[in-house]
Amino acid sequence: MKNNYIKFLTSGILTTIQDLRRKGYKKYGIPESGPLDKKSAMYANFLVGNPLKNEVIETTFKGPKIKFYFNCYISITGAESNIKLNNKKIKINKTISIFKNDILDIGNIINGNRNYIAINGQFDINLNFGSLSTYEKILIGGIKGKRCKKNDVIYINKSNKVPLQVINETLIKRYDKKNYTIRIIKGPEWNILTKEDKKELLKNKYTISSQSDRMGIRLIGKEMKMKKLLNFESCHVFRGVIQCPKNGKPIILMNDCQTTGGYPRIAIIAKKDIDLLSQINPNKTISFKIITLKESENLISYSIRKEKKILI
Amino acid sequence: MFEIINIGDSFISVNFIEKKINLFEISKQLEKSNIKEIEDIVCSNSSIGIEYDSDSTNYKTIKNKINNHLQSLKINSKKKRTKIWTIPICYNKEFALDIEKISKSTDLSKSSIIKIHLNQVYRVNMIGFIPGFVYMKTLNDQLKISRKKNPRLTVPKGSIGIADNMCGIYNIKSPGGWNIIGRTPLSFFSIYNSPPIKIKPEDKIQFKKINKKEFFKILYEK
Repeated sequence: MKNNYIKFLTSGILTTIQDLRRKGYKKYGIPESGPLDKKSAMYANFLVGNPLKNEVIETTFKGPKIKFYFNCYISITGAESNIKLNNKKIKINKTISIFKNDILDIGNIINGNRNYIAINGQFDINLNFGSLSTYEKILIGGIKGKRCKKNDVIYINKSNKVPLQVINETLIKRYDKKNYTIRIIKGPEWNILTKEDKKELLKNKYTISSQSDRMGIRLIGKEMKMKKLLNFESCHVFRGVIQCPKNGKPIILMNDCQTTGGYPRIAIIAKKDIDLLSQINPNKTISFKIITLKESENLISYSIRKEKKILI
Repeated sequence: MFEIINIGDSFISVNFIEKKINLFEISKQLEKSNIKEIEDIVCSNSSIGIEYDSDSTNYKTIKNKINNHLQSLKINSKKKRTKIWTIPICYNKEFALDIEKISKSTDLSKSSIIKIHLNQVYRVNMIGFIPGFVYMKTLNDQLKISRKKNPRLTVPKGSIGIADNMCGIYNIKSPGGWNIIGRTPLSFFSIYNSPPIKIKPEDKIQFKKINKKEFFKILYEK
């Protein structure tokens, strides 16, 4: 339907189209990309009756102004932000009815880093490797491989009417704390850390650096000294891996990270905590806590069971 | 023969002790296995990495499935017939960005470096780190040099670099820390192809020297 489209009146700081479909291409060096806060993206899709892995618009810090040229349903999830619809403040985490000529302004962030906007239907854009996830390095996904810019237009293949829903309070995360405890599992190169390193890593708070991006979260804090490393060969890395380069400053790899790495993997963030981690503002702090694989798996299954009860 | 370990809660590494195994073949077999929880399979130096859906299975269960499947395969040391690529490389100084540095570090003349580099059949052992980057072994010991302390912000597409005991091809423009020895006019990576890169792990690569004129001829012929 060539009449159903949205237009970006402003671009926002970094606004990209992302979905959860690009799996299986790391073997070619192509990262999965996709939304950094996966849960928020899935909830956004749930609220408009889309398949959970469907495309969403990911906004960063200050978001875009979008005009809708057709009636539809949308949802917004993620960070706590100053969001206005037709100049009136609105709440997020629920299905929103949109009428032709409505203007959505994502505005400035209060707590958190990113918002996710879902629209009921599919974006009328060609897929790359089965996905719309934007990865500008090789110009795939998104709008001709790039982030959303002012005056960009996206046509939507609208789907059916959807019931108005709300995400249950118990599933919504808050991003207003000053420090967060992030659970980690010991990595294959955990023992490259000295006894002192291990103590310091678990004792100290680490500050999220503003140098963080979709490739990785950089941390400022007590540097790791590490034991001497002889000929470390490139190895598997992926979202959630904590790498420790020569300068001793840990980096937590995220969705756009390289597919192999030459630095020791000292730990891996527990799956349950990665989405939250992506929403912790620069200059806030995190503390690490070690858990076992079994404990992490229990957290995952508890989370799934809880969602199943609430999201049906 | 192999050891299976977890890396975090959603990734498995199958580490092979036998070095002459064709990892790529095994990864292909795993893909055919119909273990539906597997989301991606990546080969590296001596291990296969498997990303799995930890929402629908756990480590113990998928480890067993993978172990059983690997045991059922006839893994033999005899490598299947693999493709041999002949890649034209121009060592002209405008492409061989680090040739002076390599010469100083190895104490070899430029012509010796080129001769040694050409006189080798390389084996592709990994694709990764950035889209389409080809890692190959084994670089002659005489050319051994560590990665640059200060990586370049931009390595031109087609650049061929060396680091440690490996040689690599940058199939896209990217930041990079390898020492650039030359450039190829050919392009092996495209987002419009499926698969996006034709060179595979276990393929063999032989370089062929071309001059600047030939370089541009091939480049513009594409």
